[in-house]
Amino acid sequence: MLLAFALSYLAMTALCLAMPRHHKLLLGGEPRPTRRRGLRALAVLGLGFGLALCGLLHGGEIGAVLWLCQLMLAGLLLVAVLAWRERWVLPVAVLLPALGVAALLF
Amino acid sequence: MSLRQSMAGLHTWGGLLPSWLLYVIILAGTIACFDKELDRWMRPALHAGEQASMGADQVRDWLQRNVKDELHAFWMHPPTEREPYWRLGWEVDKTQRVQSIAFDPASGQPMAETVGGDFFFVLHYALHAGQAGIYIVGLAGMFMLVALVSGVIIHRRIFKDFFTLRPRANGQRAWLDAHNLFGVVGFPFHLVLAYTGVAIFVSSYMPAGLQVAYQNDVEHFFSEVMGAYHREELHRPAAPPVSLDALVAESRQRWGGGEPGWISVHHPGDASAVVDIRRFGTSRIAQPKETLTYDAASGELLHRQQAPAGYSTYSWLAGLHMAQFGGSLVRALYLLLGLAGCALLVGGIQVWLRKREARGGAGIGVVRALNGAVFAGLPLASLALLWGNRLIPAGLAERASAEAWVFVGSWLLVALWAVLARRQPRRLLSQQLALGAVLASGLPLLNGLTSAQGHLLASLPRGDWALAGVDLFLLAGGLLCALCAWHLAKPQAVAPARGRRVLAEEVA
Amino acid sequence: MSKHSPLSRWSIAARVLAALVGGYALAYGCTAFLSVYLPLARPDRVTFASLLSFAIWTAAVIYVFAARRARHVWLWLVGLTLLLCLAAFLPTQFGVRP
Repeated sequence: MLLAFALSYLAMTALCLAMPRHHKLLLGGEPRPTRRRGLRALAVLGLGFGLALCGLLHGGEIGAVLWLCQLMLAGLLLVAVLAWRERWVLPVAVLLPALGVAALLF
Repeated sequence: MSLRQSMAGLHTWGGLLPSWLLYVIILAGTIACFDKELDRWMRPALHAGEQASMGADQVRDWLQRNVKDELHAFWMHPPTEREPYWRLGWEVDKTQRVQSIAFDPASGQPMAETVGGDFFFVLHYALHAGQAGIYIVGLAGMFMLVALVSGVIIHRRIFKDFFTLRPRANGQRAWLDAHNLFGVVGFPFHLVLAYTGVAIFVSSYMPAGLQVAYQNDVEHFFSEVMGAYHREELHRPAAPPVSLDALVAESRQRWGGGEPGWISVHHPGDASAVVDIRRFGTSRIAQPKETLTYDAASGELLHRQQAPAGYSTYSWLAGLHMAQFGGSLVRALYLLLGLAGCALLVGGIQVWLRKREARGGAGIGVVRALNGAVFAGLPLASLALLWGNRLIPAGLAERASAEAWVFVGSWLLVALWAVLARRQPRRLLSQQLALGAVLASGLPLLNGLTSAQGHLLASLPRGDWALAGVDLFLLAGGLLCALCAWHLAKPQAVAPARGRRVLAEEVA
Repeated sequence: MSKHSPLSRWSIAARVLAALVGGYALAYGCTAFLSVYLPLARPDRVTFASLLSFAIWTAAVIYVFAARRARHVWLWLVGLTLLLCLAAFLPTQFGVRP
C-alpha cells in the first residue's frame, strides 16, 4: 500500500510540475509543451498503476475506494510540502516510491 | 446580479450558518470510524481479550429469566473481531422503549453500563435528539451539498490553483487557499459522504414513493423494498421455540460458510414469532443482504431475502458511507479525510472572519464565541467523556447517563469559557489546546491506573493493536495539541522574509 | 452585505423560502412522478426515484438563487411541482402496479 500511495504522490507531483507556476519554482524556467505532455503522461501512469495495485491487493471494489482516498491524501501532503518545505518536494517524490518498492520486497 | 455574485452570497451564508452544526456532525462521524475500538477501550472487562463462550440460547435464557414483560421483539449479536462480546437488545410491546446490554465474555453476566463508542455514532446521525435530530442532520447535509456545488461554481481558477497554498500571505488569502485546498482536493470525499449520508435516511426524508406507490402502507413498503419477510400477529400464545444455535448452524450452511450477524426474534410471545438471522460480512462495500427467516417454533425456513436492484444500490451507498469494509485502513483514511472536512469548515469561517475583522461588526463576537465553544468544545467534551468513563464507579446505577452528563456538562463549561474569552481568540485557543493536551495524554495514564490489562504496557506486548491504538492516538494527539499550544502562546512576530522567488503568477 | 435594490431583506427571505420549501416540494413531485412512471418493478422505482431526490433538491436550490427574476422562480417551482404531483397521484391504479 505504501507503493500505491507513493505512485499517487508521484502522479500528483507530475501534475503539479506540468503547471508553469510550480515548474518555475521547483525546476526553474518555463516547461516546454513536450515536457508538459510528458509529465502529464507520467501522472496518468502513476494513477493507473496505483489503481491497479490497490485493486490487486484489496479487490476491485474496495481497492478503488482505497485508491481514491489515498490519492486525495497524497494531494494534501504534496501541497503541504510545497507550501512549507518546497526543497523537499522532488526528493520526497523519489524517496517514497523507493521506500514503497522496498516495502514490497521485504 | 451575476451568477458568481449570487452563488457567492449563497455559499457564504449557506455555508457559514450551518458550519458549527456540520462540524459536530463531521467530527462525531470521524470519531465514530473507530467507535468499536473506543467501545472496547471504554469497557475494562474486555481488555484481557477473553473469548466469549456463550451461545445464542444462553443469551435468550438470560432474557427470559430477567425480563418478564411482553416483548415486541428482541435481538442479539454474536461476538465479532472488533466487538468480542454478545450484545442483546429488546423492545417491550406497546412501548417505544428499547433497552440493551452487553455480556462479559468471562462471566456471562451483563457488563457495567456505558455509553460506549456508539455514543459518537448516534451523536453523528441524530445529535442524540431522536427522530427530530435525524431531520436536523438531514437538513444540515442538504446545506453541505449546496455549499459544495456553489463553492465549485464560484471558484475562479479551480485547476490553476489546485496546488496553491500560501501560508505566509495575508490572513484572508492564506485561509482562502487552505479552504479551497481542503475543499477541492477532498471534493470526492465530501460530496460522496454528504450525499450517501442523507441517502441513508431517505425513507424518513422523502416519503413520496411510499405515499404514491404503496398508499402509505409502511409494513408492505419496507418488506417489499428490502425483499424481506413480514408476518402478522396471530394473537395466540407461542409454542416452545427451537434452539437459536441450531438455526444459526443451519444458516451458516445455507450461506456456504457465512457468519451470522444480528439475530432477531419478532413477537416472541405470539404464535407468529419469526427468527431473522442477518448475514455479517466486511468483504464488500455493501453489507450482505441475505437474511434468513425461520418460524420460531418449528424452525422451518420461511424466507430467504432477495434484495431488489434498488435496495442493493441503496445498500451499496449506505455501505460506502459507513466504512465497515476494508478493515482499519479504510477507516483510518476516512478519519484523515473527515478531519480534512473539519479543516474545510474552520477555514471557511476564518475567511469570513478575516474579511470582516477590519471593519468590525456585531457578528464577529458571536462567531468567535461559537468557534471557541464548538471547535474546541466537542473534542474537549469527548476527552472528558473518556475521563468520566474511567472515573465513574462500575456499580453506579444509570452509569451511562452519568457519562453522558459529564459530556454535556464539560461542553457547557467550555462554551461558557469561550463566550467570556471571545475577545482574545488566539489566547483562548492556546489555552484550550493546552487543556486538550493534558486531557489526551492523561488518558493512557488513567487507563493504566484503572485497568490492569488495558494500558499500553500490557496491550502492546500482546499485539492488541485495537486497544493500544486508542492510547497511542491519544498520546500523539496530546503531543500535537501541546506543540500547537506552545506555538500559539509565543508572541506573534512578523515573519522574516524567506529567500523565495515570487513569480508573476503568485501575485494574483 | 451591501443592501442595493435586488438584495432587500424580503427578496432574500422569499428566495430562502423558495429554496427550502419550494425546492423540497419539487423534489417530492419528481420522486412521486418517477415512482410511478419509471419502467421498473415497484420497489426499484421507488428506491431509485427517492435516492435521486437529494440531487433534485440541491439543483433546485442552486436555480432559486441563480435565477434573475424571483417571479420566474416561483412560477417554475409551483408549476412543475403541481404538474408532477397531478401526473403521479391522479392515476391511482398505475402508481401501485407491482
